[in-house]
Amino acid sequence: MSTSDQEMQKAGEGAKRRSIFTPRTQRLLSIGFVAILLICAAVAPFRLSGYWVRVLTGMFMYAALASSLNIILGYTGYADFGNIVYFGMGAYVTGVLMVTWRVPLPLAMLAGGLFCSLFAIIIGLPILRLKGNYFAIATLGLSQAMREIVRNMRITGGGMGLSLPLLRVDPRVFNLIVYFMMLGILAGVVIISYVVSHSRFGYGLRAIKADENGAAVMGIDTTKWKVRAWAITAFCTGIVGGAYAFWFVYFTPPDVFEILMSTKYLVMVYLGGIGTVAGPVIGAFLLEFISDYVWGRFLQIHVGVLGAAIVLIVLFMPKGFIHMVRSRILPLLTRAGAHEERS
Amino acid sequence: MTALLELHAVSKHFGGLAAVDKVEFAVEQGEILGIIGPNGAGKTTLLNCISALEPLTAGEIVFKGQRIDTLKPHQIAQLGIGRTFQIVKPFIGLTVKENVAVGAMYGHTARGESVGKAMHQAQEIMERVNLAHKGDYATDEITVADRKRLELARALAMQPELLLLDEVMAGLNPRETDEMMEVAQEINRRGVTILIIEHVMRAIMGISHRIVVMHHGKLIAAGTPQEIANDDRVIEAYLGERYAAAKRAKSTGADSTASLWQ
Repeated sequence: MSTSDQEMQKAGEGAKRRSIFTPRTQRLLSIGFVAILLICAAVAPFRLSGYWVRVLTGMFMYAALASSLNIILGYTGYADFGNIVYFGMGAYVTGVLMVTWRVPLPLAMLAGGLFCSLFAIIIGLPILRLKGNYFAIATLGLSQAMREIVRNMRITGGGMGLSLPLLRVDPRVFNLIVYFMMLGILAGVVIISYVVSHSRFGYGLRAIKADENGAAVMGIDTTKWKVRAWAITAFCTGIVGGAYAFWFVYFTPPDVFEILMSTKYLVMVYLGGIGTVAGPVIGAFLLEFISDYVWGRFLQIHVGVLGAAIVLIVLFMPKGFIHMVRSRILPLLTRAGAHEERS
Repeated sequence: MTALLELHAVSKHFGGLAAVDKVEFAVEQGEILGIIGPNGAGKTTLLNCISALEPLTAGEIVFKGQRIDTLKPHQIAQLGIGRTFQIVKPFIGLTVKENVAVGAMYGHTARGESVGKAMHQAQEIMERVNLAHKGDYATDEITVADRKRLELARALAMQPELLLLDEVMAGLNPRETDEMMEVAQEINRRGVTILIIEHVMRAIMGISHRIVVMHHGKLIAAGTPQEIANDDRVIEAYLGERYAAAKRAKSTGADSTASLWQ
């Protein structure tokens, strides 16, 4: 390890978890930063090529999925390996409503989200009494079972897939609509995540994550809180699924119940910083950027390169990107200030 | 005095082992009741039964005239029973102050308490247990003594009527023990009834109004600290039969026996 690395580590430990900004300044900085990002995101599609607009739309989608998952996984500490079930259900409920009953898109998406929520409550009441690993296994089974159910139903088009009514607009305009729809959903999910994280409910969830019995004897109805958290995750994931259905127009059960896809946004949550508001969003952008870059440059061995990248990330920032920035980089930038405050 | 908490023939079996065996006593409103007994006597299991972490095998537990052994842990907490754990497990990931605030948000009188108000209450509670200056620390950055204080502060923030303390003084040095005794007595003076398990004899003899003794899951004695200190069955349970026999043979006075407990 070089001297500068050691210094960096020292500085990181010295200023552990105590920010150099006052909470008020910190909040203003965060708001300003988010505002700039939103303005960039609003201008971007008019400046970028169609390819990058699609890449960004995908990033928004994954960021929204990772943020949704973070509520049950990051805040509550329950590993939901089969979260893709809500993505698929959201897509199918939206699709079926639009195809069979000509329900307008926003209503169909909302119905998809609510359906997922209701499903999470009904399934959650029994399986969220399970602790830890059992829940993870149950969700995994659930997602695979649901794929088979949908494959064998007539109303969903079965294994042949489902085609949504095509919006009769220029493809460029269509891409713009989807882009802003995903951006809006991402903003909504992040706001929900922020509100949950700072609320009484959010503190309850984090207490459950740390020590479930301890939380219970302090008056937290743990099963109810876990079910609520899962219902919120399901609602948000279902809405994103509905948006995906609209975006891709045609899909089959393996497309939307793809277990690798939920593994991907699970990795994003860890990569960015589990249990934080911004972490899953950052993780999604990082991983999507890396995988797009790798895909383009190393067509033959892209899976290998991507795997190596994930291994490196886990080795060097096991607690996620956010934590690394907070504990290593910020103190380095403001070391003088940090020392002053501590003395 | 009226009974705040009544235990009627409470039993808890783990397979063939009777960890708690037909235990029967009452905690009077406003008192500090100590539970002592050798390791493995079933003291912590009994506390777990009261806070519903362990379902009873048999018996009844009544709090303020209401049967509570059929309720869930969070319901019991909301009725006004707070507790600490022998092995402290603070909520990792939350700061010290946030840990205490969770108690204020969810405890006895706090349904729907706002986060800001809970934080304010947490600050007051931390001052009472001498933890105020550690509010922004992470739970792994504080000393063992501070973790014990945090454990107590979390339970206090729930504004309980009955406080169950499970070895809050274990691992503390004599000065810290004195401080913790004072804090417990101060809490009691403010009207909180306390049921306390403790191995530090000086502490439990010093602050308890009454003491019950458990041995092999059974209640073997109850009385004032003075009575307990001179009870042959208690001495036998703690120091062995041979010592008790030797003591009887010598028939030494009460004062020298009491000094054994120091």
